[in-house]
Amino acid sequence: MAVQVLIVDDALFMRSTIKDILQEDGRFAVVGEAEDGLQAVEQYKELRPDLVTMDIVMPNLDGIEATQRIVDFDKEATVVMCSALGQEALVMESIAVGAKDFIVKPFSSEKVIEVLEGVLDQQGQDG
Amino acid sequence: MVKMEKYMQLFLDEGRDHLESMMATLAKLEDDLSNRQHVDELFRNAHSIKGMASSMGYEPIQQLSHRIEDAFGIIRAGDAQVEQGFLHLVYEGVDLLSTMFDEIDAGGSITIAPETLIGQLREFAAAIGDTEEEAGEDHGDKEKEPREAPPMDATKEEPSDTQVTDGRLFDVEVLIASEAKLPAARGLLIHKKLEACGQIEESIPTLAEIKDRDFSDKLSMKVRSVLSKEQLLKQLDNIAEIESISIVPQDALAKQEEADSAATIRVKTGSLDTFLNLVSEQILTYNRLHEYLQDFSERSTLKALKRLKFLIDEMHEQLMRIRLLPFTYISNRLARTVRETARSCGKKVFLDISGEGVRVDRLILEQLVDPLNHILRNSIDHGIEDPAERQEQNKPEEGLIRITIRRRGESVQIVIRDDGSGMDVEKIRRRAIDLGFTSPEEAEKLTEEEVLMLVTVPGFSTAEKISAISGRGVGMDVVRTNIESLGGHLDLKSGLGKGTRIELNIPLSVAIANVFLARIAGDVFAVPVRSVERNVEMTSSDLSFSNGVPFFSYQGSQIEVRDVYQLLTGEKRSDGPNPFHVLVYNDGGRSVGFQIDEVLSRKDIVIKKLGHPLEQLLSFSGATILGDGVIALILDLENLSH
Repeated sequence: MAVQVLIVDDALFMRSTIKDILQEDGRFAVVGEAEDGLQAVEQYKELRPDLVTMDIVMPNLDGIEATQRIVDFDKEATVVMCSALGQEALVMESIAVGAKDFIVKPFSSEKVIEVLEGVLDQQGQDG
Repeated sequence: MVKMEKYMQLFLDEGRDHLESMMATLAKLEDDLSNRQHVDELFRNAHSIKGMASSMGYEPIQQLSHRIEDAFGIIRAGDAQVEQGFLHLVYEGVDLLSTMFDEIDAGGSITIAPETLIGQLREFAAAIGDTEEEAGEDHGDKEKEPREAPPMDATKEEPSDTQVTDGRLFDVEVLIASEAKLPAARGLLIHKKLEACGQIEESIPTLAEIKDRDFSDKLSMKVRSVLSKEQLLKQLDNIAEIESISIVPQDALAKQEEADSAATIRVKTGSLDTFLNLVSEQILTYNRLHEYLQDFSERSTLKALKRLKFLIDEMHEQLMRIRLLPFTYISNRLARTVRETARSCGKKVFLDISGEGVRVDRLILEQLVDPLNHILRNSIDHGIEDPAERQEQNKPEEGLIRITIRRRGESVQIVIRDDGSGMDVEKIRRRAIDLGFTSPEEAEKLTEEEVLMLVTVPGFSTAEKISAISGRGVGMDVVRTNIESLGGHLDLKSGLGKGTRIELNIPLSVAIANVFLARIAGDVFAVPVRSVERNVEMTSSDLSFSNGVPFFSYQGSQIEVRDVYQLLTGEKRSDGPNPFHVLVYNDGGRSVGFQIDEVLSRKDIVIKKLGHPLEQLLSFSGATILGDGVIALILDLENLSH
C-alpha cells in the first residue's frame, strides 16, 4: 500500500518538485498539499497521512509551529522538514519540537528517498 | 522512559536465540559437569533474558530467568558443584521460558506461573551459597521501570553508590557523512534518538555545543541503556547521512559478547533470498548469453565467458552455503525429544548422531524437526523395550538410537536406526487385510518393504491403544507426507527382533532441479528427473486397452498411460506424434506412465515459484525460464498421478 504523504510548502514549484520525486518512486501517494502552517495542521487532522514534508518558512504559521501542533495532536506523527542551507538553527528547533528528520534544498531524489525510507523504517519499528 | 512495545520482535527473536543456546549448552554441561565455560555461558544467557524481559515488563520471564541466572552465578563465583538434579530444574525452566515466549508470540499474555520451579531453584541456590535478593523483584512488584542489578562480575568497575543505575554503559561513536549539509542538525537528531534509549552520561560535543552548531562530524557519547547493542544499533540504523556507527558496551560481559559476535553478522533471511534470486537470475542470463555467443569461435570471448560462469557458480555456491546449516542446528531438539520421551516411558535410551556436519538448507532443516521427532518418539515408545525386558534378551539396558547423516550427491540421506524389538511384518500384513487396505491375495504378494510402508497409509496403527506419546493422531502417514513435500523419500526396513531402520532421502536444496525438457504439442514443459523412473519411447501399437484406458507393458506389469495433453487441457488429442514418449513415474507404490511428445534434453534449471494465484494449479510445481527466454512450467507428476 502506498505511503500517504502531505506536502506542505508555500511555493507551488517546491511542492511540484517533491511531488514528482515521490510519484516517480512509485511507493508514495501524495494525498494533500498545503500552502501554509494553518492549512498543514487542518489537513493533517483531516487526512492523517503517513508522512508530512514540511517547509519551514511560510506565511500565517511557520513550519516549526505547524510541526509542534501536529505532533501535539498526534504524537506518532512523522514530519520531515524541508529546509534551505543556512537554516540549520531552524531545523534544530524543528527537531526539538518533534520533527523526525529533514531534507535540504535543492533536493536530489536519492537523498529525499533515502531520508524518507529511513523515517518509514523507523516508523515500522515504532508502530 | 522508552516505549517498549516497539521492540517485541527483537525481544522474541533474541530471547529465543538465548534459549536455544542454553539448551545446547545444558546438553554439553550434562556431559561435562565441571566445565566452567558452560556455566558462564548459561549465566550470561539467563542474565540477558532477564534484562530484556524486565524492559518489556514480563515479570514471570524475568523472575524465572533471574532464578536461573542467580543459581549459575553462585556456582560460577564459588566452587559449588553442578548436579543432575539441578540441571533437571534448569531444563524445566528453559522449557517453561520457551513456552512463555510462545504465549507472548501468539499475541497473548503469559498464563504460566512457575512458582514451584522458582521455589525449587531458590532452594537450590540457598543450599549452595548466598543468593542475591533484588529489591522488589521477588515480591510481585509491578514495576515497569527496569531495575537490574549489575551483573555479578568481580572485575566490573561500576560506581558503587546506590543511585538507580538502569542498564549497561555503552560507548557510542557516530560519524556523520562528509557531504551532510547540516551536520549539526544530524548530530542533534542522533543525540535525541539516543536520549530516548536511556541516559546520556557524556557527550562530545555537548548538546549545547551541537545546538550552537559547534560541531564538525563526529559525535561521541556514553549512553546508559537497558537496550542491547543490537537494539541500539537498530535505533540509529535508519538515520540518513551517517558514515559509520560504533557501539561498544563497557562492561566485562561485553568483552565476551564482542569476542563471540566478532565474526558474525545478523542478516534477514529475506535479504538472503533476494540475493539468491539475483544470483539465480545471473545464472539464467549467463546461459542465455552463452547460447547467443555459441557461434563465436573467438578464444578470448569464450575464455571470458568461462571465467564469468566460474565466478557466478562460486557466488551461488557461497550463497547457498549461507543458507545451509549443519545438521547440528537441530540435533539438540532431537536429543531433547529422546530424553523426554525416554523419561516418560521409563526407558533408557542413548542417542548417537553422526554426520552432523552435513549442511542442509535451513528451511528444510526446520521442516525435518517434526517428522524426525515423531520417528524418535515412535521408536522409543513402540520399538525400544523397557530395561527389564532388554536385560532378559541379553541386550544392554540402554536402548540405542543411531542417526546417521550423509550427503549423497544432490541429496542428504538421514538414517534412523534403533536396536529395539522391530516391527512385526506379519502383524502389519494381517492388519492391512483386516482394515480392508488390501485383499488377502494381494497382501500375500507384497514384499516385506511394501508391507512396512503400509504403516504410512493414513488410518493405520498397530498399537493396541493410542499411546499418549506417539499416537496423538500424528502418524507415520504425516511423517511421510512431510518428507515428500520436501521432495524427499522415505524407506522402512524392520524385522522382529531386528530393530527398525528408517531412511530419509531429501534433496539438499530446492532451488535448482535437474529436469527433462519435454515437448507437448508445441509447448515445452519441465519434468523433474527425480520424478521419472524411465523414459520409454514407443508407438501406439505398444499400447493395449482395458476399458478404454491405455496400458503398456513395463518391467513385467501393465502400466497405465496418461496423456499429459489430455490431463492439462481436458481434450483428447487427435494429431499426436507417433512414436511418442512415456515418462514412467513411480510414487513408491505404483507406477504410472505419462505420455508426452518427446524429450528434448536434460538439464539443471532454477525453480521459480508460481506465486499467487497460479500456485493453486496442482498440475504444476513451479516454472522455469529457459535459455531462449521461453517459460516452461514444471509438471508435478505426483499430483497428476491422482
